[in-house]
Amino acid sequence: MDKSTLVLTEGLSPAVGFAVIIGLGIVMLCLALAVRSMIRTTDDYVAAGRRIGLGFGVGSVIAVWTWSVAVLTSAAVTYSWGISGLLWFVVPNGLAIMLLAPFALHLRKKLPAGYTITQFIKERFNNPAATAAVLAVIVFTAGMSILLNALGAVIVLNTIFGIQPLAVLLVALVIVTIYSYFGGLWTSAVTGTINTLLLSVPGAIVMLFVLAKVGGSDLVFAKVHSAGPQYFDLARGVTAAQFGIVTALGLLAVAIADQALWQKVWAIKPDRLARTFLWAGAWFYPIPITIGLLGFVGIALGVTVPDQIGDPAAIGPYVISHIGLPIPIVIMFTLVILNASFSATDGAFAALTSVVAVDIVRPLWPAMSDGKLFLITRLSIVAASIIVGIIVLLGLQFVDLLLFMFAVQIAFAIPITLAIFWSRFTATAFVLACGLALVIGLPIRLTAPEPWGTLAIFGVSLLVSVSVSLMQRREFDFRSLRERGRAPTSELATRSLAAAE
Amino acid sequence: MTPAYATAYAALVAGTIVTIVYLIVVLRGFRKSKVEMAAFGGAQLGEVQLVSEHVFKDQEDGIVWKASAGLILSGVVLWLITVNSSFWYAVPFLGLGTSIAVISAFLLDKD
Repeated sequence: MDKSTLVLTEGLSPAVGFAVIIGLGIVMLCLALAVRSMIRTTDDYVAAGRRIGLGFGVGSVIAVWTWSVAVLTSAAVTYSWGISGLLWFVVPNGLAIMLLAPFALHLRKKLPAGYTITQFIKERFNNPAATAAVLAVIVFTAGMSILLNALGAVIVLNTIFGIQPLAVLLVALVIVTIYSYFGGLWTSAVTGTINTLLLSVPGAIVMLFVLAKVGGSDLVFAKVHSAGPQYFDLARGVTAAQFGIVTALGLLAVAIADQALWQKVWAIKPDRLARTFLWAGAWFYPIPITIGLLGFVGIALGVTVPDQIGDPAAIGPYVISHIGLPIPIVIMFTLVILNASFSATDGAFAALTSVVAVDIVRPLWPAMSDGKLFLITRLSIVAASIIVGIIVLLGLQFVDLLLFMFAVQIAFAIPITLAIFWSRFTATAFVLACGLALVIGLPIRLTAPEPWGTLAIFGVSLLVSVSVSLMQRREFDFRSLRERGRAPTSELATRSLAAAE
Repeated sequence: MTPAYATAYAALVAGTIVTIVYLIVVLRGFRKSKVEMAAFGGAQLGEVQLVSEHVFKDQEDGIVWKASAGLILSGVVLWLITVNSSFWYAVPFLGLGTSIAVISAFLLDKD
């Protein structure tokens, strides 16, 4: 089989595509409605009563971290860079989650009544500039997560079923908004756990049918080998310089700026924290590695940009829909991407609700009743969805936004890390490090070839953080955080806790 | 039927079994969580019961070597992809392993 034999599988009409996305949406909505009865208060909604166990923890962390664009990117980087691209993309991805284990333990121990990373920064520094900056980054990251995951759905539904991008974006947004509205973090945890099943099992089956259809792995292996030895070179220097270092730092920074992950730090049962993040990180790996093999199939088939596909990100959907696989297998692959899109989007919505409740509404109106707070928190999902929809309709460039997001997240990664672990780190150092990293690093990033811009942002952030803190000679007592944000436990809750445990 | 198709159909069967078991453990886990949340009765923002710091300290043991092992194993899998085409058939089965890991997490999650 070569590219001359590649034709779009018959029967993949837009109607089938709409049926798949709406069908999946209905399943998720049913799950959300089942979860609804578990939610009574704002705390239940944004922190799941801090009662997420190991099963839902591992399942939902894998799902929320498996962005749809990441699944597509794993095939795209293999197609573009070979195995070295997959290495630089996959290894830091899983590592970023496993590294959150010590972060989670420290944060939960130091600020047990926390909900958000912004709240931690506020309590840690008591500095409005630092708090506002982190709040902006967290909200921006959640918004970008929603946008980018909708983009993943667009690529797969447009490439395979020919559905117009705008229609996909709006349908996907409406579906996730409706089902996320009902159950908050519990919905995200339950649907995310189901999403992990629908990511891993269909992904595995689809990949094996692809290999069988194109003549077996021996044939693909031989064709990739003959296409160039660089595709099987794990230590390819050019990949590291042009793609790997930037991606690795960016991925590690994304995890640190992602409230969808921090929210789970305060929602998972305390004695399951480390295991949840270690397992989720380790068992995340097989998903992108499996899908990454599609990139090699694309190389073996001789698919080229821009003759067959407009962008390497479409290599996976293109291969799946053009090698004559049965329609159910094509639909399985579509489900993999849509699941990744839905789980990461509802995770981002859930993250936004915690930020709105804890970092925006509660500080502004501390006397507001829980009923009103609960309603506003839920409505914030609808508001976020409308704002993202408007951005989509305005036609802003996703790629520019993505690059800007990476730069901002890299600037904040070191300061947030030091704020959690280093008692001598100061508020002044935090604000200066984030600000100078962007002021100095962004112009370098815009003018110089990568990885220099990214390294500049990282370097300035680290240097300013450490040097300013050392000069200020102050020491923060983390024990002072233990009671911060903690409300007196009500009689009802105390009684219920005793009954539960 | 070629060996490649045989492997694909084997994965289909294995995937179906994994899916059924997965859904059963998720349903059981959901019922358990629902009972727990009902007994808990809900809390206001900031209401939290403090736990001993030992709970966190105990979990710090072994994080580094466990994360390192995950990292090295993922690297080994990627390396094996470059040396032996037969190994490509094993990679998707690792994908099924992700779901089996979640099943194990539910089974181990006992109070």
